[in-house]
Amino acid sequence: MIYLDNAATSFPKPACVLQAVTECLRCYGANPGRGGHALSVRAGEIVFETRQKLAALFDGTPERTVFTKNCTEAINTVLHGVLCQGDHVIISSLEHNAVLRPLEQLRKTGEITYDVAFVCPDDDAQTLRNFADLIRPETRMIFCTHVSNVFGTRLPLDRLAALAKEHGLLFGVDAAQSAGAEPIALGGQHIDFLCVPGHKGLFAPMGTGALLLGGDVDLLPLMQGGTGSLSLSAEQPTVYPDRLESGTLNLPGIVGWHKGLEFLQTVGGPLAVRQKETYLLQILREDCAVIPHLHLYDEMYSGGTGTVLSCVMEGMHSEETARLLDDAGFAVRAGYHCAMLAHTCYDTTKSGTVRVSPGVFSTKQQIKKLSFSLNQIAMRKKIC
Amino acid sequence: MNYMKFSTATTGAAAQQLLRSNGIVSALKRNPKPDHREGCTFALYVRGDIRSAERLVRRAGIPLLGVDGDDT
Repeated sequence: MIYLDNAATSFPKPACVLQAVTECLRCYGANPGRGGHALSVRAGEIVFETRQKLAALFDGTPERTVFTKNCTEAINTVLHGVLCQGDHVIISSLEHNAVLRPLEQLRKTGEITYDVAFVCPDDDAQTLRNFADLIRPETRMIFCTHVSNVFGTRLPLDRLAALAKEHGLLFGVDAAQSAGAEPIALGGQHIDFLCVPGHKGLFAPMGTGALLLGGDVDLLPLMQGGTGSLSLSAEQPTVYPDRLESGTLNLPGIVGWHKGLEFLQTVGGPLAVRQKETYLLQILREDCAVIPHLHLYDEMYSGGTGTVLSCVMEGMHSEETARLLDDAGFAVRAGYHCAMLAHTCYDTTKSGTVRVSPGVFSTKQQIKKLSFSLNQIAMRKKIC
Repeated sequence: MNYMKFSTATTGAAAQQLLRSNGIVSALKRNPKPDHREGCTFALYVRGDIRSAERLVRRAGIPLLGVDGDDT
């Protein structure tokens, strides 16, 4: 099987991640931050080192790096933890349901309102104006994806952060697709909330995510419970990260993440990853340009794209195309990618899209095989 | 041996990292004498002058509950 679904989760994981997880479960799988014995202390040390590595990668601080079970939980922690009655939020037209659905629930219960700013893929200035036009006195936050998980569209993060700062708004970023494939600096880019998954571009096992807090905003925790600290108080600790980390942490996942972050550096860091994946997608673009009936959703971008490419075979639902590719030995994602807004924005709600997302282990040969198979599917369609 | 008290493992680890970068050896453990008003807390045992270590930690803004000792 040729795996080209790295936007869903990176696979395979690096060998060092597998080894570290196994060693943890076998040798020191104690509860970090709970016991005082040597195994718990060792577990706690590696948890803290992973916080440090994440903080270093994203220009944050270890104390305000909060582990979550995925990027969605990090996003929910922000939206439910910060927004108050009457607040207004602006999001982009390319948001994942991880952003849209919590906001929609808050809207339905009458707590907040939100508006969707249309993203112009070929005009960042217009995108910025679309966001600015929606700002009103009760606007509290701009929250947006960094890179669309469907179309790879990259939003002008720096300019949106500057807009938020200029109007005294909080700025949150869903970096589900860009963490590990794009340089991101919490402090340098004036980001208040950065939500990242561990299991995609950062090579951790599934069940890992983090929320990095840039400012000094206090969040109400999604969950309350045991933190291993201040145990005789009935109240949730006010100190971070404990405030937002109730219950036992996913130690094997965090240990794997520790090694995944080291692996990311050994392959050259986010810029090198982006360069490689962009190169592979460029080959695919060139090959696909001559395939009849195949429509690529990337030709209109001016600001460059992230490392996913969506396409549709005319007259065929994306799920059908993906099934034929599965039969031919390719793992790609089809359908709607949990992103209703993005499909509405690009008018692809009828067919969905086939999404190709190479990873660091993908090769040029694999991409060539994929374009050959896509061509075969197109030719068969022509004959029919 | 004297130690600094922290409310969370993370703040204790951050202090330990700070001391390490200043050449001070320390070890993070559970607080052996937790205050009944606080419950579980963490102790950073410091080899050497605890007061200068404490000053470093306070100067870095790492929240510290205080200083205690096994023999106090």
